[in-house]
Amino acid sequence: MARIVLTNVDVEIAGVNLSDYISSVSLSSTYDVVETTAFGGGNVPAAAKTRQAGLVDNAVTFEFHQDFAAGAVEATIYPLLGTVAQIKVQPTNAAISVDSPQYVFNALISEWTPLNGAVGELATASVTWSITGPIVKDTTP
Amino acid sequence: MEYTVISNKKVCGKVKDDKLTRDDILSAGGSVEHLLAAGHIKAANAVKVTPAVKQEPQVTQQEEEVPVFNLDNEQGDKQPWQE
Repeated sequence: MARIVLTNVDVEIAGVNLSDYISSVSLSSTYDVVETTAFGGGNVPAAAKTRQAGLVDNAVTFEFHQDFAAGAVEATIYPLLGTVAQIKVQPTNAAISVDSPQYVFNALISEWTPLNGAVGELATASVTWSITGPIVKDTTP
Repeated sequence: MEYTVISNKKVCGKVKDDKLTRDDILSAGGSVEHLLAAGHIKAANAVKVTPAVKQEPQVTQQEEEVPVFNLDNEQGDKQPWQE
């Protein structure tokens, strides 16, 4: 697959597609690094640290354009505050495939900024939500 | 129970005026209560409430006076039929 320029990322939050109100998305996974270095056995002393992966910590970050209209951003996100919502993210809105996988996960809607911006600026909300549980990558159409 | 999408947003993969069932919503990771409250869907079979027809007050008929017959008339007063 060729390089991809993000122009049509598909984002669904709690069943509602809010792609046209999101200008930035970042989905990240970071594993804890657990050190396992021990003394060498027999005549072989330890020469380098050894490590293995621990628990994974997943998070998602969105940049929203605020809209207070019925059925828009505020009406969708605000009631979800403090709850866990299912989120689906796909790099394009094409059918799910190896070239356009869908990532499905549950995020704790832990923060929200209903009003943010200076005079003359677009009202936006930048949020980072921790993911609870794994991220499921789906490539099956 | 069926729900109709009333939002301009895609809801659980459906567009405005499409129908959704509770199972459709749950399998898409949504919540019926949240989507209703956020104004994305409405119950498809919601009955339109019309104001009740104002009833005219009923005319109550006055009860006719019934003569009282005193059968234990020991004093010999005249009864109504005796007059």
